[in-house]
Amino acid sequence: MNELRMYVEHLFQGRVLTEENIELKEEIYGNLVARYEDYLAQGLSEEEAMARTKESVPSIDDVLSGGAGTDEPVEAPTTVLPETEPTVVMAAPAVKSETPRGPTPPTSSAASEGPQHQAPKSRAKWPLVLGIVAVALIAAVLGLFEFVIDPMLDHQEDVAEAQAEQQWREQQNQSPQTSQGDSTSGDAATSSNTQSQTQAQTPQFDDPEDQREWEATTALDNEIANNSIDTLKSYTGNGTTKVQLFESLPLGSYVDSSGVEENGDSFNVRYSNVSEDIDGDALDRAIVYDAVAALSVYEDLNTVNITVHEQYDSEYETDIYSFERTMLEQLLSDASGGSITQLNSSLFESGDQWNAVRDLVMRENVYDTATDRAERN
Amino acid sequence: MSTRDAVSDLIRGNIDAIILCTLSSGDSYGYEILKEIATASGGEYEMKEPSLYTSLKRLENQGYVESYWGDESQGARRKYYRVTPSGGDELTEATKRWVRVRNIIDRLLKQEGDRR
Repeated sequence: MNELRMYVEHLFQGRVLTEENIELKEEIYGNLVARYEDYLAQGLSEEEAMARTKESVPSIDDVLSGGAGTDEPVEAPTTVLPETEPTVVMAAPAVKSETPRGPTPPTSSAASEGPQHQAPKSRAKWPLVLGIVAVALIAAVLGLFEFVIDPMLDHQEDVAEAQAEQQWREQQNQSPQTSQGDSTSGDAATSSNTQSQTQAQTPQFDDPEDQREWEATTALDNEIANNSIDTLKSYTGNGTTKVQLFESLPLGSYVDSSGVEENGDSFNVRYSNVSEDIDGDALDRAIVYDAVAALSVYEDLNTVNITVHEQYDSEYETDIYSFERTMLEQLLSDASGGSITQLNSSLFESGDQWNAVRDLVMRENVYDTATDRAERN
Repeated sequence: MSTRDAVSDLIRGNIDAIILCTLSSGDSYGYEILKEIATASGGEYEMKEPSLYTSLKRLENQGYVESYWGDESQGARRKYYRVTPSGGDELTEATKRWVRVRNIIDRLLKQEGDRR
């Protein structure tokens, strides 16, 4: 019996304790016990009886939100409120209610449309008004969540992430210059201070999901930053395939060989089951970088088609991009003030030169525009 | 599965009357009401418990039933329901409505139905 008590408590978790709720708890408990004992009497094992008993009332969402006393006593127990439930479910996860059963309204109201004239009209109004007020309130709360609170939280996250990235970049910039103490300038001291400060400041998010997202995104950005010219140079030779190049570029671990195809002067690559923890902008940066790298390595290539399939997406939700050489060269030329006009192997002859290309690609207006122009769906 | 949902949907339009009818043969409480309905339907219809609570709440709000706590000496208390006089009237009306609708639909769907 204790287990059923706990189960009922669980059902009501997070609910306001009104007198009505307390009575309902008691009532449900009593009925569950009766059911449990009945199952036992029918010969079920304790486990089976308990499982089935709990199944009989999987949630009280429907009970608490429905049945606000309609004016149509027998026909169409689909009351005013349930019509709002589908909207509530779809709009925000903040409000927990479940659509009782999918195709409710049409059939039952069809069966009852004829003899409706007896419904007492004077009682109709105030539940209706209540319903409308409830809808308005729910809409206001949802609006608040979606348009005020979420953006605020997102902004906070973005700020935290930007700060973290900033610190990380400073760390990257300074590490080549750190020497073991021989340095005559104050650089070594400064950089080691910055480094230890940076390491102490790796953001810790309260929400583990945010933590994962930050880590996944940072990892990808690291892949981009650390992608070296040596890697690129090694692929301009013979005996290597384009697929292999992509496998060594950022997102390389997601390359799906079934989606790889070479068609004359265009190359198709597919990334499957990409972690959904990775921030969308970081994904954009990575694919633009990859396209730029591939076009630089393979000077005869004119188009890189990239399909991105994220973990849990259906096929219809995959993103398809087509990066054309001319588009990217134009974009980079504009962004670099004319200093980078062509994508070819000369770009990665020196680390500095390639870093310049990389920095360009990492600029928001560059990768944003590139993906906008390349988007095909 | 979907045929069964369609059947449930059609029955659901009359569920309050069904509950009133069950209670008219004697006061009862949640689980017992469900069992009675399952038995009376010859096993063809089993109402879900959450839906029962919704209906009972509605019926009570409309004044068609009244509830009271049983005095179980041991174990869990049970909430019993009884039909009120106006509930009885409503049951009569609802039953008439159903019969009338049933005949109309039978006619429209070209089912012979009962000629009474």
